[in-house]
Amino acid sequence: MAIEIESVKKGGSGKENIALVFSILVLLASFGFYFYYSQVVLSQKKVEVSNLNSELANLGQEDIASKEAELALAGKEINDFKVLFQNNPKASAFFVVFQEWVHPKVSYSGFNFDIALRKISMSGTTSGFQNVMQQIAILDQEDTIDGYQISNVALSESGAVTFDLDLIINQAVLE
Amino acid sequence: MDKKISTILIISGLILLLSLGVIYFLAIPAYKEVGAQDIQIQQLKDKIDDRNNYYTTVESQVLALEAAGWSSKKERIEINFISSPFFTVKLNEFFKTLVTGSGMTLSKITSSPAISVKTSSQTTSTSSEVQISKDTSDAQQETTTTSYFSQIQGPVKKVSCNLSVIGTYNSFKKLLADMESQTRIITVNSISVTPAGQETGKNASNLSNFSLAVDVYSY
Repeated sequence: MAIEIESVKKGGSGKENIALVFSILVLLASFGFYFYYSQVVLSQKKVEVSNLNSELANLGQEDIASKEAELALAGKEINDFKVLFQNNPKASAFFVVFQEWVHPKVSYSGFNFDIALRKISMSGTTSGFQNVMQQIAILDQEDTIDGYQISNVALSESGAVTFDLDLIINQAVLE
Repeated sequence: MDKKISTILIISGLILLLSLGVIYFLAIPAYKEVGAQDIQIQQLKDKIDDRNNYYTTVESQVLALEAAGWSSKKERIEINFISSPFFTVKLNEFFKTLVTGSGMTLSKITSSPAISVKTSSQTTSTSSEVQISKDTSDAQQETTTTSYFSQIQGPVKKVSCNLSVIGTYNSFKKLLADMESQTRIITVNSISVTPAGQETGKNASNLSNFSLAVDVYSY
């Protein structure tokens, strides 16, 4: 009988001890987990962050600012030159087409050319009305002329016909 | 003995409770902080990568400019983008050389102070009453010049000059062609031609007076 009673007591005490040991292990594991993360992992991460921050701060400090400035200036100058060059009207082109449609028996003087408006004003002199009509016919056929106006047509005593001619030339002529 | 067992169980329970407290109040915040540090590290790495990519792009563009011979081209076009106290003097000298090179004589040159192209007038309009016209729709013509100056990025200024030159018609055509072939951009705004004899009172044969209004540019 005594043996039976003793065995029951031993079994009960052992379970409590296991529970105690287990709880101590859990506590140790909790502290271990905390210390590992707070002291080992976190400090490593902080060092890494610090290194990355310093790497970021030192990145390209040497001459990147001058290169950026050089590129920005080049970009502006290239763009501005391109804009000015492409939009610069070529006034000389008018004189090439002018020679093509001017009537050989009509002489022009008092020439004014407003390039922004593409408007040319001049005075013509010729020997008869027929030449004026022929000049009008030529102007009618000319693709490089958007519009024209002939005014102040007058016949002098010497038989010369004078007139004023205003032209609007096509934009394409100046490009 | 029961009391001893109970004490052990209570101590075990307290230790477990303490463990939960350590986990909840210490370990989990530490874990979360590590997670936050990981996010920060990733962001820093991304930032470094982005900046490296940007610097690589800058480097490659600088190299591309150099490969395209930018330094020599810059020297050629830079005349449009420089300004100095002697700008007007140099400009007068430039035009004298240009006119003389075309076989003409520069009789007068005036220039206005430099003004920013972005503040200059951008819209022009005209109406012409056409008595004889091949297209009656052209009778009222309004030309609205959408100014290209809005596309200018730099502080471009323009100097307006009036040139009076004397020479032949062919010389004048050469002068215009020379002006258009310069790397210094010269925008001819207007041209007036009168016979040279009109002003001088002489019979000047085939010589004419040419008046040009031109713009040149500087920064």
